[in-house]
Amino acid sequence: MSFNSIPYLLFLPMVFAVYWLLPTRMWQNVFLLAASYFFLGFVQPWFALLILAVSSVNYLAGLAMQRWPRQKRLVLVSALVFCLGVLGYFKYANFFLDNVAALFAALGLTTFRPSLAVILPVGISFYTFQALAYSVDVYRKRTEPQRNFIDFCLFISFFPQLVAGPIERSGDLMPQVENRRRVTPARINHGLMLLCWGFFKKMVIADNTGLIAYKVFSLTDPGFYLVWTGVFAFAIQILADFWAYTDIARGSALLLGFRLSRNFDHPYFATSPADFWRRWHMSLSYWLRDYVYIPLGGSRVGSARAAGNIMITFLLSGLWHGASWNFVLWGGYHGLLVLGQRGLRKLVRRLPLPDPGRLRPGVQGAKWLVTFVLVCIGWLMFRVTDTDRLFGLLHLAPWHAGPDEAGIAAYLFFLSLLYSLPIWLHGLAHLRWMRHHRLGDALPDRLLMARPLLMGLLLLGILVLRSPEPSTFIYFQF
Amino acid sequence: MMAKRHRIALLVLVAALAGLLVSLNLAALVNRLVIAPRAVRAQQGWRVCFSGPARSLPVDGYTAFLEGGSRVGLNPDFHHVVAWSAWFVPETGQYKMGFAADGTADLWLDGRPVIRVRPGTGSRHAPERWLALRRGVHLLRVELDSTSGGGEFSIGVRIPPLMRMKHLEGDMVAMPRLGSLDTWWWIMRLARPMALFSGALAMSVLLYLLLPLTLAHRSLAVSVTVLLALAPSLLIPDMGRREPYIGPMVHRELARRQPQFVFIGNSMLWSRIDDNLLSRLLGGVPTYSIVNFGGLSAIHYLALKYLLIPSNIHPRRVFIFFRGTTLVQPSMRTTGPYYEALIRRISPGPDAEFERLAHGRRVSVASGLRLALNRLFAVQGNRRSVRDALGQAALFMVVPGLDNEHAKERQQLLARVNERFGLKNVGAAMDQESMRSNARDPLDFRSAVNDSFLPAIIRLAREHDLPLAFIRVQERPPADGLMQDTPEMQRFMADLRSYLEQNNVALYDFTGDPELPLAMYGQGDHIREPKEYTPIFFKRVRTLLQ
Repeated sequence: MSFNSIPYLLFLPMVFAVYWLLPTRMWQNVFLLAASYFFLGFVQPWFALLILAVSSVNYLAGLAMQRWPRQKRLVLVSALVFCLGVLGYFKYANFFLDNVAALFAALGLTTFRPSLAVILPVGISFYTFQALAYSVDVYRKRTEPQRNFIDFCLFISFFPQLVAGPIERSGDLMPQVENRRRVTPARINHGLMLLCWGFFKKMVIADNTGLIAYKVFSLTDPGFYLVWTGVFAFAIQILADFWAYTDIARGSALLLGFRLSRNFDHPYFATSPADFWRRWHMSLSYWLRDYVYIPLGGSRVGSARAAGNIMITFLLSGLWHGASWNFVLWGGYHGLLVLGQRGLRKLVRRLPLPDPGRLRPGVQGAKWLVTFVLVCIGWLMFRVTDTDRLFGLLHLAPWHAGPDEAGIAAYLFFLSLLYSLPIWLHGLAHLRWMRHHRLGDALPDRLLMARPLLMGLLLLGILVLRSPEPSTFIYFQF
Repeated sequence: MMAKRHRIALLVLVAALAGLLVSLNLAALVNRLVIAPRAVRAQQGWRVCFSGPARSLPVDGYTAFLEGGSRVGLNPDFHHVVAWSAWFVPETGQYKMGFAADGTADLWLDGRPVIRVRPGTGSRHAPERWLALRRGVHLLRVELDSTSGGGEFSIGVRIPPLMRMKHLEGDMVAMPRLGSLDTWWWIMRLARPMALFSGALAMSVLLYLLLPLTLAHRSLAVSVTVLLALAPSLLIPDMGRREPYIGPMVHRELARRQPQFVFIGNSMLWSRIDDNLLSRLLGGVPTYSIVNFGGLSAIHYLALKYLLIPSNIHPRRVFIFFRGTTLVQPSMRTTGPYYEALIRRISPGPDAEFERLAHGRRVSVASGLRLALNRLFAVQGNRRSVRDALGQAALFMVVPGLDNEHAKERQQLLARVNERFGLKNVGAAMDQESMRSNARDPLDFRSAVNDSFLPAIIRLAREHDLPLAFIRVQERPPADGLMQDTPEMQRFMADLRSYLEQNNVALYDFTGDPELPLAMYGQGDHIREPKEYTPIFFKRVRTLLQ
């Protein structure tokens, strides 16, 4: 069930009403679990069976690690093999077989290439990572194994964050599952606001800019200016689309008394590649940091190995996004950017540069611009799945453009900019005011009455500006 | 003493009620207070008065009298005669007028008929005429005599350079220069949402004042009221242009002509078969082509079900033209404003089988609910207006300037944008992307056929005793030889052939035909001249034309 669909607009209020009518936490959890499985099974009933299997294995692994501490490594490895096996089969099997066949073909060998008719189960990349993190945390004794099977299944399959995150840690979400939730008017109000803002970002910003990007990348021969305008539109689309999902997830969860992590912190206001990753898909970034990068040794090893650790982490991040070489390339590119940033920082420290003083805003502006351009180059790799076409587009130079292209591209650029204006304004407000007051994405109490006004404006915006061609959330495919 | 926040709330309530009152009467107020006095002074302006309510009148390739997408849809389903009149106030100059209508129609200017449309000329060949007009008031009149339902007409005029029309609700006034009237025009278009918003705000503030609650509870109460007032609008899809169902018209035409051979297809058919020539080659046997531009198997299914079958004619054979693997790609070209409008034109309502195969969804009460909500919120027109305004703002950022030169430049830029993203530049890539997004490999005929429209088309034809034949057109051949299929495509075609043979359906494949060299092709896979192709078709498919 997609958030931007009529079934969800009916499903959420019904769940909300029944959920708060139930007398005990236990019944609420049972109901939420059933609702979550219905939410997932709405697309394909067997998706619910798969998540039940992943939940069961990790639940049993947690208990087994506590019961037989000497064998806990074996238990952990078994759970990891199962989860990664499931992920590998459903997400990467055909990619692997294609590449093996291509390799053999390159060597002049003809092979039989079995075709696996596999449908990627919705949300598999997210919930397997959440389950994996739980097992690792139990192994590291950072969390106690959950004894209640219903609670554990709910932790893995809580429907607002099931399909596209945020990837929650057991330390954050499990206590909320285990304890009675409270509902307050302020929380519900905040939840409704997040829902409206999420729907606006998806239906107005992401879908409209997505249409521009789609048209540009559908051209058989786009020139330099059009390609980069298309990349700009896609950059807006993917941010608004994924951020919208997270906001709707967080808003839905708040209505049910749960707090989910923030996944975005205005990433296009980042001033370095590393800063970008602290703001973009934060739950995945921190997951990779805690469960891949640090176990590999992090930065506490020699510089060559630390660089290797960064590259491994980013390549995995790319591969996590999809079974295609362009995603690997995208991950590697960001790894190189982070390494480049580190090298540059070391170099700058050695140079006898004067204190920027009054130049600081200019320097920050330049850093922001460079970071944004570099991130956009990465989005081209992300958008174009055909590597031959990707390299063709990357080779385009400004003189590879028709006579009218600059004007057409400028028009599409400004159109994308206009549609995305609320995101930029929100970012600026956050930068200048909200962050200063440590408000997160909430409004202060004295501005509580501004919330309905904002909600009304957002809904009116959706009413008149929503795209004529709605699309599914991009991250559903991961 | 009243608390400060209550005083503020009261002020907001008064403002909201005033807003509601103003927005409900905005169009009339603007017309009376702003437009009418200025229109009198607008020496170069265009004034158009409709005898009926304001409607949109576009003609392809022309700037229309009004903005918006829909045509004047009179739409009674019986014989009707309609007269429509307008005032036209141009500067002295040469004007090219275009006029298209269903049925018999005349366009009169100052009491003289200037363009006549008679059945058969069709909207694809809208008659045009250059007219020399003097500055001043001219009376336009349209008389439409439609023997069928769904009658509509459209009228357009090419404006001389340096002039620009702007249209307003009610008494429509167009100004040659951008100015404050544009602002008023947008304000008028936003009257309905403003009324909704003001009403919701007034209700919310009333709740806030009347309920004995804390600030947080009041804030929540107001939020919920706003949500309840506006959230239903989320359910309304963008419905694109309102298009009438053309079925009855086609049924009557088919019944009148009684064709012995009927062709269903898209531009591949349109660019290949000349009905008149084929009819002559067949010794006067009538033929009829049902062409839906851009349509693929889903559209062909609807055309067969709702355009051909209800006409109760019994042609000797029905030919369906297709290209590549599109016969087993059910969802291809079924979404987006153009295709949704096309679907509404050729089907009277939601079709359960179409919805299931093309979109994997069932017809439910939801579609009826959406229509009702759309009427309630009246969002379609506003959506188009606001989106257009955003587009204009983006154009203005590229070509700033308020004078006519810049306005003209902006229109030219927009035309270039539309040309750059025309089907000839994006068609192939969009098709490829659409094919990639299709989860099932379209080349695997056996696994794809059961979820396609092919079995449904065959079943319908069998149930209504219509002998079927599928014609695979040859795609654009290489410059240096004959068109050849890949091994995968050969396997696909072998499977298709065997499937059709099992179902007693004929198939002819033009791929690799030596008489169809590259020189015969125009744009893409289209044949340059149907008259060249039709005799070849006649020769090759003669056995099926018995």
